[in-house]
Amino acid sequence: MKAAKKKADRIQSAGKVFIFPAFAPEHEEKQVFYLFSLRQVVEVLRAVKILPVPFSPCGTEGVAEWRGRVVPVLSLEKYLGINWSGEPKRVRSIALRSVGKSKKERIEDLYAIVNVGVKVEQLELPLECDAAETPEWITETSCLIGTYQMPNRLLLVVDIEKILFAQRGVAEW
Amino acid sequence: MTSSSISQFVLFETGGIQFGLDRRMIGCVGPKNYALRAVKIPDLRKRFGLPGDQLNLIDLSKAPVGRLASSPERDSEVILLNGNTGLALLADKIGKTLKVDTDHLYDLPPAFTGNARACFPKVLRMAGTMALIIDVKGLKFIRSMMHPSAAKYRKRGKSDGTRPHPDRLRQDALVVPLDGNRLEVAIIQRLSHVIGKQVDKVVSRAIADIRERQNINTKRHQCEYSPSRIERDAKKDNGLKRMARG
Repeated sequence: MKAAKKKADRIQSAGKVFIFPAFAPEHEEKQVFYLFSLRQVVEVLRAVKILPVPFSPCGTEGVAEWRGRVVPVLSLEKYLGINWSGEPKRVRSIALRSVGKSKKERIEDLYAIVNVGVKVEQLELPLECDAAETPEWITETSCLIGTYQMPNRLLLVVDIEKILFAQRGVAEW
Repeated sequence: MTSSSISQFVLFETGGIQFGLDRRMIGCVGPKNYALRAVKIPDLRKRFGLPGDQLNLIDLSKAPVGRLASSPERDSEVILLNGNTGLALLADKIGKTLKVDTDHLYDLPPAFTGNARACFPKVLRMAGTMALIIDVKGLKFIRSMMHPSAAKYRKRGKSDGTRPHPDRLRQDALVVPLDGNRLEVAIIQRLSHVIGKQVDKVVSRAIADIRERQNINTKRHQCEYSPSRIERDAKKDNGLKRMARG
């Protein structure tokens, strides 16, 4: 009975996604959001103390302590090559989870903390959206799975697994 | 199941970032503008690769993390690394020494690659403190962070080209803040090693140096090892040797 309920919960949760505002300019009068599945978003955090790491790849701000782990703090805007001079009024930190294969070919859970805008929305799948062209000001698309548009929204789906498992060619010091 | 082992790490801060360095890697520490001096004992001189050698002084605050928290001409200290690394580190502030078991050391996440991973493979997380643990081998490859004026550590008394008097060559180890107590790192760490190897002559000379320096009008602080304890150990070793000779 419990196993059946767990399975039902899992199917239901698979049908939900979260969108968080990105620190990016509006594109064709649409606000830009990052889209993550419910499984990817583990926790919404308060202020996080970041320890910067010298010589770190572009996009990694440092490390932070979270639930007894040392996790990377990422700037998705830097990974995507977004140069935005605007000042975010309020920032929220979220803990993301990804499952993937490490270099040792083992399946692992890895976590990261990302800073996003404060406004959070939960949406139900399937979304009424269309595939869209990636804006020109996103210069690094290797970490982007897809770009989608909805009324008043542009959704970016970032490949968190690729970032966390360092599978992309990164600019290094 | 892995067994944990205990290591000692010295914490220091530079550019607003906290680092940890294995205590065994530290030769000695001194103010940047002070001509660093070493005890005139042949074994120790070899160990530090001093004096007269030119070392590469690394300023981690200039590493590209998007900010420089301190001004270039700040009042810093220099951490001289042990062995033949030929490296020294600039530190804004030297903190405490922690005894850490491996359970408190975490791998740097896989998202960090390249030089970051080579230089800081582990992160120390303990009692609300986080610090990047430095791997000295990784640092050797970081050329761009070399301080423009490499630290130079010279003997004194050689300028006139004549053979200097041994007393003028004799130099003091620097007093450093470590564990909140002032320790003469060069003498204390090496003497404990030297005593273990039962080199009577070196110990006696070191004791004479310490006693002589206590008469000099410079700032000294209490050492963890007192001369009387060193004397006792030296006497004990002498006694054992005589017994062995029969």
